[in-house]
Amino acid sequence: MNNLTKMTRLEIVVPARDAPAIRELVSSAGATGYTSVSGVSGIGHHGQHSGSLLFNEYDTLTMLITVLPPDKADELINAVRELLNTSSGVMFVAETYVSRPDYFQ
Amino acid sequence: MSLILRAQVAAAAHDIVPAWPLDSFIAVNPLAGRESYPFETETTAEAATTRSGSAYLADYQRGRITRDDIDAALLERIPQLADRRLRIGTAAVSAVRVAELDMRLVAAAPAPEPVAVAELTWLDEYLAVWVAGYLCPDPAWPMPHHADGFYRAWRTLACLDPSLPRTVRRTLTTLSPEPDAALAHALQRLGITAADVPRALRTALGHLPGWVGHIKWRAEKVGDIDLTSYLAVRFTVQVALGITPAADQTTQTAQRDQTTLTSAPFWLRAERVAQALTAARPSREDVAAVARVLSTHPITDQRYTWQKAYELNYRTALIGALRSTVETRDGRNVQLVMCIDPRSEGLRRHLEESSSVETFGFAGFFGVPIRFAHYQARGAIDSLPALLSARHHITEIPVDHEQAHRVVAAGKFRDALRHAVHTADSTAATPFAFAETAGWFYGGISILRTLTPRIHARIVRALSLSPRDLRSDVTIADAFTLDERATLAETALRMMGLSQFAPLVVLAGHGSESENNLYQSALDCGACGGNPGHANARAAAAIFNDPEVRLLLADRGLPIPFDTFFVAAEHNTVSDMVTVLDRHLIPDSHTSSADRFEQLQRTVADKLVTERARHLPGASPRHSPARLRGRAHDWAEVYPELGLAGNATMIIGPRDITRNVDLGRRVFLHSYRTELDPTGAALETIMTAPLVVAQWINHQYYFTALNPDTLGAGTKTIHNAIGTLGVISGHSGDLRRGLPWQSVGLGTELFHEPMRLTVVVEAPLARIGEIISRNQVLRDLFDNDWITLTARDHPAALWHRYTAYGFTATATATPAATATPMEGPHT
Amino acid sequence: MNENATVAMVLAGPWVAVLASAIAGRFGRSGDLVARIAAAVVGLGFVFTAAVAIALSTLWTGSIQVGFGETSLQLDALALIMSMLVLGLSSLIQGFAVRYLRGDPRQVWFVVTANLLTGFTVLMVCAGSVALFACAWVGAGAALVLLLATYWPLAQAREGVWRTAVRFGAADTAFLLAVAVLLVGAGGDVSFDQLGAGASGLSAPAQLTLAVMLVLAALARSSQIPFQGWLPFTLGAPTPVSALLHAGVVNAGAILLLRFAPAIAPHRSVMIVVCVVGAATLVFASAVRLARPDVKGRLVFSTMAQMGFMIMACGLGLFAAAIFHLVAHSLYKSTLFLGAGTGVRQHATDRDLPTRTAPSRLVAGLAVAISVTVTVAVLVAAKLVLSPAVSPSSIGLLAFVALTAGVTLAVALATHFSIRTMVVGTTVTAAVGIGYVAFLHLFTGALEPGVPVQGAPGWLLVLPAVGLIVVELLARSSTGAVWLRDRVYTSALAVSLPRNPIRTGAPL
Repeated sequence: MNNLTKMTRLEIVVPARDAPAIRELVSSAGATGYTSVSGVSGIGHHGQHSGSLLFNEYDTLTMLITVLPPDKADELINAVRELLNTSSGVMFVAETYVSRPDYFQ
Repeated sequence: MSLILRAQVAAAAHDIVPAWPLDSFIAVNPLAGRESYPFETETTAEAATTRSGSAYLADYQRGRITRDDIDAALLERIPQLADRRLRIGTAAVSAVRVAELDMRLVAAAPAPEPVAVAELTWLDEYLAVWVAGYLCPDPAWPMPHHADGFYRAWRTLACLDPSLPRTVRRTLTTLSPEPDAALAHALQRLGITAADVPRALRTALGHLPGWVGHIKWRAEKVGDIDLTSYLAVRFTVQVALGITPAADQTTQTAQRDQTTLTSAPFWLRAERVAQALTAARPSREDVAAVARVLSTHPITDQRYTWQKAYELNYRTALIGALRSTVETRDGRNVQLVMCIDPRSEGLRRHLEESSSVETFGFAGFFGVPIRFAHYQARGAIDSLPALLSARHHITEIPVDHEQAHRVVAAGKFRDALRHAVHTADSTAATPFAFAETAGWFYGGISILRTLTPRIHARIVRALSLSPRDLRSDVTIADAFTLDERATLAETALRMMGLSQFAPLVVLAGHGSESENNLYQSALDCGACGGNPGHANARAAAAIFNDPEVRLLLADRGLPIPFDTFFVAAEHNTVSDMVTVLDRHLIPDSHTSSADRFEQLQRTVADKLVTERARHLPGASPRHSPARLRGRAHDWAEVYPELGLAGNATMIIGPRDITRNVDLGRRVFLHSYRTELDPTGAALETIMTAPLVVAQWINHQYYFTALNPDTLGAGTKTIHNAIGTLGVISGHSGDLRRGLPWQSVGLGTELFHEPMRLTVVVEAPLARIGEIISRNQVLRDLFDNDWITLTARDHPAALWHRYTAYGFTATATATPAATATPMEGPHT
Repeated sequence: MNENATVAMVLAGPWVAVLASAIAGRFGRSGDLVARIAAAVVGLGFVFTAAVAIALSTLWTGSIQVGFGETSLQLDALALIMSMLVLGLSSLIQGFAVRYLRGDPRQVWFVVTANLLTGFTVLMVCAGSVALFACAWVGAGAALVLLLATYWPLAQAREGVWRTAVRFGAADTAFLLAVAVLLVGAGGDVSFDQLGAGASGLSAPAQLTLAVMLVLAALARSSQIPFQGWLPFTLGAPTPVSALLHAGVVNAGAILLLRFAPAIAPHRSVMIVVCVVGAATLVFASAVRLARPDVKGRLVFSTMAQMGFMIMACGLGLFAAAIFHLVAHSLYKSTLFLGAGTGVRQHATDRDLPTRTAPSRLVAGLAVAISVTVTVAVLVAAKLVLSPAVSPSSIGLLAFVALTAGVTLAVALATHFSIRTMVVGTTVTAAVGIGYVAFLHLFTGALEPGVPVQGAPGWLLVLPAVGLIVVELLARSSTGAVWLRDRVYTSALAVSLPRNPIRTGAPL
């Protein structure tokens, strides 16, 4: 596909207070970076979540997006699943394609 | 494998509450990890969640809980008891009466044993020493290899530890240099199966809860240690020394508690109640009828009913005291905005006795989250709620450069003396002669500080030129764009419902003053991250006085008259004096009204200090205000002030509802007016930020009062500080959590009444319901009964109680005749 | 006022306080009131003692002695100085504790045992004969153990009590044996004046054994090696107890050595042992102190090192210098203990100070040059003018003062080189240096024991000096002597580690 390289994209939505643990896992898994969106809103298993709160970054939801090679992804997916066993949150995994794979190795 | 293990560690640590360091004391709910479960299912063995039955019964006997309160609490908890009647002997009795009688009879039984302080194991003490050595913030001899991280530094050094057997030292040299691998290896060596790993990790993290909580905080905020490396050391030592984990003591006690409670003779209970209801010997049918009622109210639930009754007594009186009339006011010369902190309530009440003053309550950081450093200072404070992280850095620009030069020179001179004395005292070879020479001066200072603390304070103040004396402006324009500033200002005005401006608006932050008090930060402003709030007040005043900001505010429908001026001030919560800051900024047109305000404030402060003296240990209203204020400078004083002890309620609504009501400095007062908040955004901000901070504080006091030795820090008198990081009790052991005993009690008696926060809101119920339903934090707190909510739409409407199923109207509130819960903390 | 009444008044304060507080506590009076009365009574005792001291030094010369047979009480210079110190500090600390222990269920216990300790200590320093001293000594030890039991329900407090009791018990048994030998030999109590004569009646090995047994008790009380294992475990008692302990009880070792000097000082070998033990404790405790993270733990090991210094001075035969150090250190350490909660405030104050800049090479050089010149000039001049008699040991001690003053002044100047720093720093250095020499001279005149002293040779001071320099260099080393540094650090840290319950390891 246009010389693109297949990668795995993880999107993880968790309470902001649990985000540091996820970020640590993402870094430990060898991901070269991540995108963090704080104050995401939506409706889910636990009901409604309003978006960003003006004076509270602690009780909002954070979405972490990271892209990494499929061979590294499995371990991270298992690890995040383990963590989500004890806390609320969701993880979406998808195939994605990047043009400059060296950025993500 | 190792990533999974990291995830397992993080999962095991999920419910652990991060513990902030002592110099920025943040009140937290020590059981915050359990907030997603109902309060009443929170039967952890390591924490008491209510008092004992006999304590409540004593309250009943002295009238602090009435039968009406018990009935109401029973009906709230067990709605099916309503309207149910039964016939005992010849008389008809309501089910509620039966249950209520049962509680009073059972509570007389001996109380279950209090939660014991867990004995530290050898492994705990070993780790406590290493962690303290590694994390020490001001080491005279920093731990070698500190830069390699906790596990690696320990691994290098432990091989040389003479207290370990030689064989153990030798085996330690074969360890993996990676903490993850070492942890995995140790778990494997202990024969812990993959399925048991989470439980093993959780058990290990249950030891040394103070240090573990601090490590969790530190891993997120500093990053030089994490729980994986901590556990790697812990399990490795356990394996190397062949320590088998002792039988899990905590689960044992939990089981014991459970058995003593459930095995209480159910039929005996029923018989006793039936007997009390009939003069004669009760028949089997009577006992059975009673038993059917009692089965809805198991004995394990009774202490929750008692606690609810205890809180209802207060809430009923509070709601009854609130006002339902709106008065139109004009002629206010001064508006004073203070922190929601309960300590502001007294000052506001007394100041409003003068018709020229109107007061507002708002979070003490005034909506301006900043990191603040004094002019050319070497350090900064994060002056903002713990719910936020610092993004905006503010400092000062001196107005008078000649003075700035003097202040800096004085600071440098002082630093030279400090540094010289510190070096002489801490270098290996110098302390001996230093003690011989300096000891005589130290002795003199000791005498002065003990016998005449006020004179000592006066001398110190005369000798030093503090950075606080510098006339300066805060660099607000560098930290926030114009648009940001206008938004901050608009948010603040809409949140506190301020739209009619007096000529002078005073924004008073607050700070405390005490000597020799490791917990001084717990007395400062919680909304400012355990710092005094003067910097935020100055920043906010600068924003409101900015003509460009005012232009934008006018565009947004919030015009501020050109003759209105905002001044910053600081409320000293020990002396109750409010000092106007940045006097050089006040235009000539406003100086006289600022002076008048200060004058008025001074007389009011004396009254308030005397009022507070009734509850302050060792003080008396007969003492002079100067003497009472002297406690701030007394290095022997462990009760400089009572802080937020007694806090019980947060009221969100216009001041009209509480004006002229004595709330006994027990109430967080946040001003709010629905009219100024068309979208409800301001209310959502109040309920998700100031309310959450108030709840953290409330629960910190609640659980400290109930568990002074485990979730509280125990008595101050044996505290031993580790730099500014925290305290241990005595010579070793766990880092202490929570507040010291001196914050909640005197002798063996509590002066803080442990009550879950009662939140009272005046705002459209539909709006409140919507806000709760879209914020998980509020759903958790209110639906699970960690705190309660009572609300009404407008002054003429009925009060409604929030339940997980919606609002229900409360019985018409009449002030309870017997109780006087508006009183301050009882002594 | 007659002599009996004077001595009684000096001694009575704490005992009156003990009685009053015990009775008031028994009848359920508030701890607050009890504590206030006791502190005031002891304070009066201090004022009276100070008045006696002034009167004695101006009106008469010499001392007051009251005897009952051979048993006697005396108010000589040492007794007066120490009584003033003990009564003054005790009432000060009790005044502090009135507020600090407010409402504490153990407040009355603290008041009673603190005064018991004060009473026995005053009795000890005023004792003029061996038997009375021994009684007071043992009584003070027992009172301390009771005082440490203030928070008996705490496991830590019980551990401290137990460790203290075991060490005191062992050493005091040796001491009592020695005393018994002396008493039996003399057929009754022996006044300290007669002690030298009494001891010399024994055979040479017996004299040596006797001296060693006396020394053991002093070492244990001052937490010296090998008895160092009690002081660090006493932090389970409230802060005022620590202040009292570190300002009073641990000093008793020097008092014993001075009072029993007639039986100890003539034996050079014993004096060398005393000196070396003091020096070893000094270096050991200094290293541990640097590695301790907790503020009170640092104070504990600082005390231990300071006591090492004091005992070492005794071993050198410089008894007056030891007492001088004792008094100054008591004031110093009690202040630091009572103020052990100032760290957070201090940190907040320091945070607002201007950024510290590293001094340029020129400034650093100037700072060192000025401070060396000023210090040496001041001390040499003061010594020549005020106290011309020199010995290698006294020069050695003076070198410690010179080093300290030099370092302090140099650091001040290097931190902020300004006229103000220079003027203030130089003035303070000069005042302190002259004051030190003058005060020490006064003490020496008043306190030198009138017996031949075979002090340890002054060159022994090289040992602690080298030890301290090595410790300091290791603590500052980042890349040098890594193995030695790690080894010493870990050993220092391991002092605080609990004793390992398992002596064998399992393979990893």
